[in-house]
Amino acid sequence: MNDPQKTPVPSTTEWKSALAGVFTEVMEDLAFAFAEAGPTMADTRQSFIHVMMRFSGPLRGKVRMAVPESLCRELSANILGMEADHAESVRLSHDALREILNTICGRFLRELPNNKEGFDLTPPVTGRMRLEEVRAFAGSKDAASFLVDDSPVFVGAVFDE
Amino acid sequence: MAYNVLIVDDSETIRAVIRKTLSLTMLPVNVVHEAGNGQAALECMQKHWVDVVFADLNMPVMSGMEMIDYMAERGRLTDTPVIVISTEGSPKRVDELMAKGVRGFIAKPFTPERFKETMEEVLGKETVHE
Repeated sequence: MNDPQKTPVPSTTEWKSALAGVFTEVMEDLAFAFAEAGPTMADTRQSFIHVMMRFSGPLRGKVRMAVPESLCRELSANILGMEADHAESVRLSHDALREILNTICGRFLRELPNNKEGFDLTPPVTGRMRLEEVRAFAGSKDAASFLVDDSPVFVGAVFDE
Repeated sequence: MAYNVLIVDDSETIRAVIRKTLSLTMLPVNVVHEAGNGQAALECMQKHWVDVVFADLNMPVMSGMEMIDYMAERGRLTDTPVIVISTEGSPKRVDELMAKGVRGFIAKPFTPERFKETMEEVLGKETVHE
């Protein structure tokens, strides 16, 4: 039986539109990087880092992102105000990526219809992605594709029914 | 008067950004302590005098909310103002924080201007420019 109080899961069009706007803003405001719509296939020559976090509240699910390792370093350097090859920005590149997703997730959830309540987030987790995993994610209906400073980035959300 | 500040965030990147942002506000800051979670922050406050705490909410070990609850139960939020810096800025969550005794909220990403405004609001404009 359906729960009449349950918050309806947004349509793919709704959440992808919200995510695209938030992603572009956060890249610009936090990482000083320019984002635009990108190709749906990953450049297979690059090494990708995966970052994921879960959310719960009126809606439950997860947000994830796949970013080329070289871009991670660039974004980290931008946030810290350092050169991309600076040892500190390289050391903190995964940490910076987790913070970028944390900020995206927080803003994204507030942008969704029927989700103005508070929500709880788990700390983001990073790891390396195998090539077939990048391809599968990039080609899935749960992912949106972007180009950030000319590098492909895939961002996606999954809502628990 | 120069302030002793405690930055509580599990992200080392964000702690570095907050530290840099604080320096850009030109407000009088003395010592800047850092902690990676609420538990480490409480331990830091036992060892050091802290005038103001900037805390994230979403952290492992002990979250910012758990740290705030712990401080509120012991009446410590009156003596040591806590300013939350988080992405979790729904009106309901901000109201909940303020009701617990949190003194300010800064949404991520933030600017030096927003930091300065909030510090002036929380600590008093005259005090921070003494």
